[in-house]
Amino acid sequence: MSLPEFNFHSPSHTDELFRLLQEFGPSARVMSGGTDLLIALDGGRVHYKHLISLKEIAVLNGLDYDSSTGLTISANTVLADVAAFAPALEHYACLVDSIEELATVQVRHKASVVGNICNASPAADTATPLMALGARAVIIGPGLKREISVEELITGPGKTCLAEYEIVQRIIVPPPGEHQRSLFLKHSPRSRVDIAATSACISLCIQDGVFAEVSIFLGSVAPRPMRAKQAEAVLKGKQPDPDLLQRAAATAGEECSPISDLRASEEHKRHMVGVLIFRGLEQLAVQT
Amino acid sequence: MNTHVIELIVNGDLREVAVRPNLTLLQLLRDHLRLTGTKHGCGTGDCGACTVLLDGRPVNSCLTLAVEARNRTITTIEGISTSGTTLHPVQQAFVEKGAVQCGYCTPGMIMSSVHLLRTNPDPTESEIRHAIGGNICRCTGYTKIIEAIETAARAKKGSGQ
Amino acid sequence: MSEQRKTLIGKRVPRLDAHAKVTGTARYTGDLSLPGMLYGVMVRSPVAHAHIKHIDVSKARAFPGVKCIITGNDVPAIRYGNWRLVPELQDETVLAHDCVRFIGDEVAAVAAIDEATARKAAELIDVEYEPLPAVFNVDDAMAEGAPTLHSHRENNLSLERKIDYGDLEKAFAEADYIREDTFTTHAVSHAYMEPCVALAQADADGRITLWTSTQTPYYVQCLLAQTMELRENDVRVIKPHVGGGFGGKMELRPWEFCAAWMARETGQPVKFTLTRAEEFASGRRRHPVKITSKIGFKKDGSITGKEVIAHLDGGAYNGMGPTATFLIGNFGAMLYRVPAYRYRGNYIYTNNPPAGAMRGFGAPQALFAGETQMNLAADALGIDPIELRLKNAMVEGDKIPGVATIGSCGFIECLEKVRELSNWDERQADARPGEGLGIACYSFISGGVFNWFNTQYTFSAAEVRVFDDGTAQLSTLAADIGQGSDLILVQILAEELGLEVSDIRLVTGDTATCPQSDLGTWGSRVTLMAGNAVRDAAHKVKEQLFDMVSLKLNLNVIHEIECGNGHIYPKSKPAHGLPFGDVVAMVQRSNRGKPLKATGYYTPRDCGLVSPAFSFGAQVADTSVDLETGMVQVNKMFTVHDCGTELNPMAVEGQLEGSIQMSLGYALSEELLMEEGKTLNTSFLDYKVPVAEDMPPSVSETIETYEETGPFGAKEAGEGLACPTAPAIADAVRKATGLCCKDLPITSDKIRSYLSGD
Ligand code: FES
Ligand code: FES
Repeated sequence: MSLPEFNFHSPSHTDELFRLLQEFGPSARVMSGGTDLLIALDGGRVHYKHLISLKEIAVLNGLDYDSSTGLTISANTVLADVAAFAPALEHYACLVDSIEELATVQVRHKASVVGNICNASPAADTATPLMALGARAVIIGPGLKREISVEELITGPGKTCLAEYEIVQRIIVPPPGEHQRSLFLKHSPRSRVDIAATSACISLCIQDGVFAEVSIFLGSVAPRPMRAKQAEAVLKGKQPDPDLLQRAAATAGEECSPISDLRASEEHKRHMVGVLIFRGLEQLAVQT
Repeated sequence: MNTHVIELIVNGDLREVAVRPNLTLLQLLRDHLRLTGTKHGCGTGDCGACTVLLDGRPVNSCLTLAVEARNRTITTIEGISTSGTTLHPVQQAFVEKGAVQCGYCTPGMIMSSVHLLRTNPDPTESEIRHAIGGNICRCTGYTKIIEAIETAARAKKGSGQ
Repeated sequence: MSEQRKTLIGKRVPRLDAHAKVTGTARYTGDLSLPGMLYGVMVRSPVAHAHIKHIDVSKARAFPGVKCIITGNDVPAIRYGNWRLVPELQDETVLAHDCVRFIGDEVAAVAAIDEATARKAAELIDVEYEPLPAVFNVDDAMAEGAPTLHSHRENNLSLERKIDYGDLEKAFAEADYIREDTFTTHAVSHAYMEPCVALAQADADGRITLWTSTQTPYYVQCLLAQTMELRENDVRVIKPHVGGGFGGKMELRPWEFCAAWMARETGQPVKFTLTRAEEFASGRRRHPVKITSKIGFKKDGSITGKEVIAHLDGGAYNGMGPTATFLIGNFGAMLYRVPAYRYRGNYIYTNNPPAGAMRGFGAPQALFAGETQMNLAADALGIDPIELRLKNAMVEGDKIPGVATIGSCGFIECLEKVRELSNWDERQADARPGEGLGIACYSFISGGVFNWFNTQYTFSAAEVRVFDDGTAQLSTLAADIGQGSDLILVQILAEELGLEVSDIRLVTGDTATCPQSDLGTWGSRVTLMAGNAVRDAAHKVKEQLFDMVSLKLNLNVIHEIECGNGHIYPKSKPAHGLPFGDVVAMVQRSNRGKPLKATGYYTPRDCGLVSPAFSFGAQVADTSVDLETGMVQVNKMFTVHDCGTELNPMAVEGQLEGSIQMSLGYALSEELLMEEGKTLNTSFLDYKVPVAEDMPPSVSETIETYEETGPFGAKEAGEGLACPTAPAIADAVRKATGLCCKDLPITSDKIRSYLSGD
């Protein structure tokens, strides 16, 4: 790796951070783990004159769970810490599964969950579970604070709705509902440890024998992680039976918009979405 | 570029170095501190040859800026055995079990294994496979590496370490 | 001395360099740096085929920190290549002259005070290209009116290799069943973990010392001297530890030349380190081959004859292609008795990055075709595939007319054993959808006998010195690049001299201090050839030692004398020996102080065109296929192989296990994806080599034979195993899904679209 030149800043307070962000504008980029960013810089895909590390800012650290707020993941929280956090394992298995399947041990110890989301890769493995679980992002900027859903946060490949001077301070994943079940599935055609050619996260709850709430998110099959709304509609209010699950799965395969790339053909990805969704629904239906 | 003078602890020694922001930790270790045991296999975080422990966590030193190591503790392959002459149990097991061929993946592989056994002293075979998923070896097919890690785990248990 | 003579043959001795490697103290070329060292980078062609109109280096030269820039105009336009025996096959120059022929072709080089400066300057070099039409596959390259890559080769046919024996027309006429199939294989990367590095220094007289990551220091020495117009002895090549090669580091490479040339030019050491992306994008690769194979059988399954036509996509230059072209023909008719055979191998130039030698050297392609076809034929004939193989299996003493004679051969035993290990018969009877057991076999060489490099030396040499403290020194240019041959050679010497491995100092990897010569590591030649040279040297030393023991002990001439347990003694009276070191001291004294040493040599002579010895093996892949996703899961590999005597079982197992990793990748996940000559996947993120979680469990067994031509009966282990895995998996996948995959790799995409009828 021979990285281009840039200045490095490591503010210890958010005030200083916002001052730097306002001063440098689009020539600056915040980083926490930096694993994606350094590769992009090295490959010449992005150019920044200033990198601003969040690591020294104490208020951006921390990982918490309580039964009323849910799971709070701070900007600097690394993937491995979430995966090893007992409440996460207990209540958000799909999120933990997505982390365990993401990149490598080394990257999981350096990269942050928030960074994984903010890089907005169509293949960001934590995005689909966070969206399916209804996670919200707390955004801070100079003198402002707002909260939006993670789904709204990502607007396109590599794009978020963050203004230049804003950062995601933390992500809050609401506590799971009583009957809520979720799981994460991923298909990489070539190897176990691989970037996903297709991934999906399903979160649902079956009450009185019918699908009461369903949220299905698909990764790597659209410019951004996408919600399979039509497939959800197929399921809502219906009793789970194989035919229905098959129809929902087929619908998801149709409504996504994958492109052929090095990892798999469009055709294959569509097919895989169908298979993943069917298997996921089947598994969840049995669980409940 | 703003040069930073940073302090860090490398294998137990306090070091003060002046680094440019775009210097990677791997370059700092290999080119400046001449700790060449840590290897460069890809530079893009995909092979694990450059794995070191940063405050005890395994990271790709090629994907870490040297400035990020300010006030932190780094352990490299040169620093895992407690004395100059004896090997760490993982190193010992790699030698005995034939887990080394060309040896280029070995330092990174050992760092990942050391971390695994610190956090999970009695790993199952599949946990071992998962834990070295970020380390590519082109020579051994991993079989003897896995055997070596199992052996080291047993040896550590036996010695109560 | 009363205990039994201790033997080292067959012992699980750990590697000599393991301690250095686990502590990070083993030095690879990239770990070396010299005072005043400059950093070099290559400037490569971004276009697949073009005429170079003009190169402007003025901006780059003016860039602060740049010390030297060279282009093809600054260096002699000497064509080089490993095939020195046939000079017209030497088709490469170290830097492009007039014309570039692939994306990545080396055009210029920059040396500067640091790497960043060199990279920036490289970007300032302005090359004006006049694009030429290009071809990217063998069919287009051979088509009428196709653009030619090299003016002396029309139709881009670089060379044709033929093998003919028996009456093929008659063979096919007599056959009850004939089938013809066409197979294609893909380009894959060696993906050795250590990217190529070279560091050169020139002394005041212009003599060069080059440290380089190579598997053939001697070739590099000769070809560097040739291209720099130096005398061979003015070039010293040193091979530090090497992080794998697998065939990819056996030629002179442009950066080795540039480092040396620029070091001489600047008076400062120069180091080049390739990036992983460069390795993937423009590095050598395994030849993609199209193979059409026609084979005839009698009803009872006996083969009547076979015809193989191969077209290799060689890329822009020959490299090791001529050898691969021949070996595909050779392996097209190995394993089985083929009474009549015709082979036509065509090496075709295209504007892809050049292919080269890679583990198996043509055999993986030939055997993917041959073994897949055997399985298809077995089904059609209604004969169990193992039975069909047993019916035709080669045995010791079989002759391939004009090509080779089979020495030790445990092929039949391998087949029988793998049948038992894998529970073959039961599993055949109990077939289930989505599951399959597939089989394939291999044979491989123990080094090549053909002198294409046209060396003036013996193929291997070893010098042994013994000392009066009971130790010895072995010096050889045989190149350990990770496979562990250093240990094997030391083990062989220790066994010969009756010493411990730790009593032997090894001096290796330096053309200036090791005896001339050794052809290096390729074709699994080191154990057999360098091993024989070591034994030869040991025998010469022992002769003098034995004479002295005979004199000292006043032995009757009929006594055999032997070394063992650090002593030398009459075989029949082991207790009456003398300590090894004492005998050395006596010999030395009797020679009035001259040290006791000898050099041993080995050159295979009169053993056909291929190899002095052949290994054999059979492999079964137990595989499941997810019928909805097309994902292949190899549940278990069963391997039985005949590698002669296992000198060190731990080393043999290591080779075998490693080869399964590489071959699993070849079968399922690895592929250099190409578009108009451009390699699309240039990182380990997109070029998927199997990681630990991808590896199936595996069981293996060895059939021990004794190979007369090999040291202590040993022959090849681990390279030939690059062959059977892909066809065995293909066979299993066919049984599981019905898809007969004749084009590698076997991807989930292919299986899924077959199953869904697309
Ligand atoms: S060199 Fe850092 S992961 Fe390969
Ligand atoms: S021992 Fe060579 S890469 Fe692992």
